[in-house]
Amino acid sequence: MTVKEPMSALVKNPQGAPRKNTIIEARNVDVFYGKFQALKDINITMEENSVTAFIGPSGCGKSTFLRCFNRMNDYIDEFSIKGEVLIDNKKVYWKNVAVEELRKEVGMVFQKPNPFPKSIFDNVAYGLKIQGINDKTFVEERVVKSLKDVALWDEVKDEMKKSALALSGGQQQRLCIARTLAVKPKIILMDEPTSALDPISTAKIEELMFELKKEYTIVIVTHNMQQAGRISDKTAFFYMGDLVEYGDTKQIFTNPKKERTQNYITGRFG
Amino acid sequence: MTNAQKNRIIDKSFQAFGVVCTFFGLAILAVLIYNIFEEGLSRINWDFITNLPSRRPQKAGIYTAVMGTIWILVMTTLIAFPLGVGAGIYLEEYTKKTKLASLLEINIANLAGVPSIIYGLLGLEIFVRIFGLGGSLLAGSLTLSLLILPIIIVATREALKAVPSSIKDASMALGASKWQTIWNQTLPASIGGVLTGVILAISRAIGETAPLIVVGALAYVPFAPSSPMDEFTVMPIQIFNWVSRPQHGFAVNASAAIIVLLLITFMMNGIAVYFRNKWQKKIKW
Amino acid sequence: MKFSEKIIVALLKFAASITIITTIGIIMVLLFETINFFKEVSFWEFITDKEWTPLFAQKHFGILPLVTGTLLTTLIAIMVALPVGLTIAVYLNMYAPKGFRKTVKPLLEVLAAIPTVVYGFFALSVVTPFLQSIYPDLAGFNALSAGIVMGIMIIPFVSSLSEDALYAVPKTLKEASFGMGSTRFQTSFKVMVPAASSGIIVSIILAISRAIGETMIVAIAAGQQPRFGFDPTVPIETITAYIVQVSMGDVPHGTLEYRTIFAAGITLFAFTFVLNSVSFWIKKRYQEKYD
Repeated sequence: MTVKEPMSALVKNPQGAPRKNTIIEARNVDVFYGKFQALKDINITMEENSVTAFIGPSGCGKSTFLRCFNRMNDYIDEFSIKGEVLIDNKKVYWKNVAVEELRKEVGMVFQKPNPFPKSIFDNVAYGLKIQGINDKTFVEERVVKSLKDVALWDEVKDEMKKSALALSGGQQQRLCIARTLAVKPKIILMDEPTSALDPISTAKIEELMFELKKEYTIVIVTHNMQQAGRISDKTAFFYMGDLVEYGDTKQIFTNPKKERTQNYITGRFG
Repeated sequence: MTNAQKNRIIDKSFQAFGVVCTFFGLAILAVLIYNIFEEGLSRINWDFITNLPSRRPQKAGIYTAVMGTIWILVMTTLIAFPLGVGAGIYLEEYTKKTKLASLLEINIANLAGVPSIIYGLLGLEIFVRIFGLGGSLLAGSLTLSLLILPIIIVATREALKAVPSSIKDASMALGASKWQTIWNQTLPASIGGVLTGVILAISRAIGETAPLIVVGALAYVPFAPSSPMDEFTVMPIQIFNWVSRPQHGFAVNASAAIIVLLLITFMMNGIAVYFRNKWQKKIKW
Repeated sequence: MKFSEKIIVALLKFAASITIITTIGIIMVLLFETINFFKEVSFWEFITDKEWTPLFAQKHFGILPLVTGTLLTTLIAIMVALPVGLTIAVYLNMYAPKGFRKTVKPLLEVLAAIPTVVYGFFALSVVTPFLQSIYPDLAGFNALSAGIVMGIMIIPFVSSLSEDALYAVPKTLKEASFGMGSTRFQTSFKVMVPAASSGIIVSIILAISRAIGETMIVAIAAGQQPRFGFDPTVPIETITAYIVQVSMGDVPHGTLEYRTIFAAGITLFAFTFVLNSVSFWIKKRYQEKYD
């Protein structure tokens, strides 16, 4: 049961040779909250170093699905899942998976900035600390690098000891992204990361996503259709637990194949 | 007189009655404290603190009782603090909302309402007799620990509940295990509330008399205890003993001892309030 | 989960299970010794005999005198605490300035933090002499003085918890009542108190439960004479005071006298258990209503 090497507990998918570039895959995923079915037979694949946007009306299951990739649903009492979620061809819901290891590979940024009530430095170093990494220079370098990656370094470099709660909302959210980067995940999940921010902070974070794409795979849930159009390579439209349509963002927004997608995008409901 | 006038008079009268009642409570508190200080304050000196008990009121001191109370305070804290906070963490963070969990909750609410003297009977049968600890400090502090456990558990749970789940989610999403999250995030963020509850509970234990009398703490102990297995007395029992005697000199002694006991109690309550305020100021989400 | 973490969780679970063990322990201990007690004393005598003299040569084992003593002191305490406490709650919530409320509430709560042995001394040395100056026939040990002081002690239970309940009533209700031209008094007792009634009832039940289980005040000031009846001016004995009285002496384990304190204890436990359960039940229902 004990897992020492990162991800060693994630077994290789027994069937099929690993497909090139595919990093996230869902096969026939059904999710239930008690008797309520939140997701119905979802099949999807996502590629490395891409940005995928999940869109759809509130309660359509997009956030639920996002949380299947790092198993943040585990703490909901009545949650159950069928089918397979694969990351790097390894089963996420295999019973021997160490979720802590999984989450080092699959980071997450939340809707509201949620810095810890600690210093800026401690926030970014937290992920390393809980892995038991105590090498001071290594941690410091990683913290600085992460803050530079989110373009926050210049704003905070003189006050690393200051409480993270003193930062503005936009800064806090970038700090939360830096905190995620410091663990060096492969995938970053973003659950409406800009919905609590002003337009200028939002623009900064969108800009950041273009940079991050080079090194990371990003999956973002958003209510903001323009945002999805601007930043994502691919878009998935969810409605009432169904994955209605999934394809290149350009195609989804200019030439959707399904009527429901069309209606949603043009603002007829949602 | 019109109806409206009548109503206004009733309203004003009740307001006056409200002021009277509120000040009645406060006045009693003042009278109580004044009386005790008036009678006992002049009796307090260094000899009173350091003298052993005596049959002559002028020579009697509270040394053994003070030492007994300190022993009880330390030992009860050592037992009840980890157990209470641990149980609080388990119930708040590790149990799911099942029938069993709600049964546990009812159970704790009930335990909090069990009269302290019943805990004394429990301690007498289990710790004193079956465990063979006799009327020792250990038996006394185990009994008091069980008595204050529900208070600490409830306070711990309230404090943990106040930590926003977004913080826990963030920690988990970074790959922290549940315990790492509790230890690094939830507990530090709630420590003020936890400590407040623990100190209030300990202060309650310090003032308890009945359960310790039942487990066999003695009214007269010639020497201060020096190990957990020693016989003991505590301040409230010493006071009870002096109150029950007819000579006026002992009533003076009781007042003086009450001053010391009240100072300890108020100091602990003050510290608890300080922790609560400091904690509330520090963390704004 | 890592092995070390499993150990931690096991330890936490153990800590939580102590609460269950405590409850089972209390019930087992009380039942065990009480069953032994009833091997020698008939249950019928226990609940009907009007005399309680287990420590005398002429032994009687009727719990009724201790029960009436307990109920009498509790009744007096509630007669003090209920009107005063509830008035304070309404006054602080509806009339007093905010700053006043913020200072006075914790000050009143100090009343509940004072060790009860101090109250006992206060009842015996201040309140009883004062009452005797009004009513000279009052005995030196009596239920009246102990009951009044106990009532003062539980005022904050009623006042603080009731005020919390009033505070939780939605503001819109208050405004609706004022909007129709009601006075504060009318709003308080026609709208606020009914709306907060379950919380107020819970606070009263908790105060009663506390009074029934209170020991040191009655042990010091009410006397040690079990007496069937409700005369507040004479010495009586409560269940709790009896347990203390026996514990102060040297009663060897295994004797009938030793068992009497458990039989008395289980009676006390039954009273408070019923009260606590009722208050918990009301509280749960009340929460469901507002969530």
